[in-house]
Amino acid sequence: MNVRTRMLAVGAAVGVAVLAATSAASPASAHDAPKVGSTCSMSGMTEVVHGTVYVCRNTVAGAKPRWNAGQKVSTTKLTASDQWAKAAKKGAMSATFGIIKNPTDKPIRIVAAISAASTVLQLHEVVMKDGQMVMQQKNGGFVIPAGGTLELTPGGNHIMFMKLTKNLTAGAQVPVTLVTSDGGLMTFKALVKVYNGGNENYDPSASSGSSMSGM
Amino acid sequence: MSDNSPAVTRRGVLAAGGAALLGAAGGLALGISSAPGTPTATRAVGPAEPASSPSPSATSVSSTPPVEAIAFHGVHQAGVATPPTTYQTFVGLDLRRDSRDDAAAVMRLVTDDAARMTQGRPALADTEPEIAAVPAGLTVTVGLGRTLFERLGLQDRIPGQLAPIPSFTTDRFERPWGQTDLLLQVGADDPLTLSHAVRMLTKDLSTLTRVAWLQPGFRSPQPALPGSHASRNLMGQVDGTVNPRAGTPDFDEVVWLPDGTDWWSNGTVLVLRRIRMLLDTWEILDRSAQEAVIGRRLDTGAPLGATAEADPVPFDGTDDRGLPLIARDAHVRVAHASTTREMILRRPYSYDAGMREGTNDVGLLFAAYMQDPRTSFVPMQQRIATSDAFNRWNTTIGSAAYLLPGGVAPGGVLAEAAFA
Repeated sequence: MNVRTRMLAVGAAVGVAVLAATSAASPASAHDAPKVGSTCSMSGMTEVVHGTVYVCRNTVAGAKPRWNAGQKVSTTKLTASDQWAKAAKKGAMSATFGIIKNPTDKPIRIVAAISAASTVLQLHEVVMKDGQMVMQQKNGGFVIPAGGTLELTPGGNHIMFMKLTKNLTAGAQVPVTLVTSDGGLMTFKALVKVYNGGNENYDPSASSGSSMSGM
Repeated sequence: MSDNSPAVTRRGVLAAGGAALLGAAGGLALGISSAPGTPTATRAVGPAEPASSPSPSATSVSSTPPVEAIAFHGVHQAGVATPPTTYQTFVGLDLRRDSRDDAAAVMRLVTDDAARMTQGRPALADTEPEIAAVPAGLTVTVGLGRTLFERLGLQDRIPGQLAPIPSFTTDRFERPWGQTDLLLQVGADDPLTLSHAVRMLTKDLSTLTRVAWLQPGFRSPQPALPGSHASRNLMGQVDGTVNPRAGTPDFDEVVWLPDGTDWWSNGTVLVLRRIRMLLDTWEILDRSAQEAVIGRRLDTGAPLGATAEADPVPFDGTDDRGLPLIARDAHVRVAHASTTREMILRRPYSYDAGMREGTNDVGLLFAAYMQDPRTSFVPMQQRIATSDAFNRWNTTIGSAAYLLPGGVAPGGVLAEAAFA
């Protein structure tokens, strides 16, 4: 359907950065690049067009999300381990978890994620709000310090599939590509598992204009 | 022992009535003799892994359950040549849908779970990770049944060794203990670890499979006798005296399918039978009669007419009155394997399913491992069904056979080639 689907078909590999810039650079597509600065319907939307990755983000909390300046696609040295995703039906929400490691000597900021399994993915955190655990979009993305790790867990930071385009059935492996602030892409495959938890309330008012709630 | 109990004599314990006619069934395959000179250990020694792998902690009989991990990766799956754990649960599962993708998904999930949990690491998405921190010798072994391939239209991938086990006149099968598509054999020395592992695995497979049955078993952590490789069953018999010992050429010949690239290479065939013990009638017999039925002493496990457990069975021996030491229908004679090709590895567990019809529903989970049941288990069971005196006091109420594929290296998926 779109560019990112085709791109993922090229770059899928577990836990290793494999998306060479070239593999995503020249999809034979008439797809137009998003107009930088224009509003977009949902924060987290990500497009890769002609070797450039564009992310729809809220730069100001509460404001409408806008297309950010594109970054030339590159690779990143991030690695993933213990990655899994919650089984869920087409049309529903889900999330992926695991451990992301930054082996470099510079901090790396993850600003978006892409998967053929979901129209949009968002980076979420879980915070205490009015005495309740509520998950909301992490506007600044996830920053992993040099040599550090990011743990994505139910009840903590995680990456949401906002609307599944297909069933995530147990035992399948769903590809997810992380996008860093400088256009770096890293794809891992998450093992889909039955999981009864991970049902924190979602508070869309805290970030994008999404009307989806629940997971 | 005293020679002539009223009902049972060494001449033929069934002289007064045929076991088959009484509707009893099955055989515990207890006290099978091997060819002279073959090792007689039942407690496996040494790792099932290549020499470079970490050794399992329990390489000898010990009263202290191991808390360390048994290697998961290797040429063979663990749970066969590794020492029997104190607790073991067999789980029979059927696919919900006739889907090769689902079968492959099952293998991915089980392999990932087992690789983690056996090493004391929680499975992905484990909600009770603290329990997984104590591996307690945990092994997770996977088996595939004929029915799995039949329903997936993959009959051509069923090796001859997984031929159907024929029915025997003594079979008295009850639901639900029959053949299933898949088997998980989960063993540990800590029942909490075991229960958690079974929960994790069955939860992970819950949308892909249905559990048809679950058979928890146990054995004493103590050997039957000091220095013995056997353990006692719930009839008090020393069970498993004669068994190939892991790490010997005999063991490899009896148990492991040849190396190769087939999905079953380096695997083995498991025959699992649920055998109910009829203790109420068994206990009517006096000890000498019970010993005559088997052909071994209860206390020492020694063959009748011999002195030690490991002594060869004097099949041709007679007592001072000229009577055979071992009755012609004694279990030890009927079940005797005369060649390595006929031998099996027995790794049995006792079961206790509570009360049933006013008595204890207890027995044996007869678990035997072999290259090819057609040349070993089947002829032996045929002889037992035909003429074993012991049939009167036990009933085979369930039976299933599985091929346990070979092991995998890190990153590999068990039986992956079966569904490719």
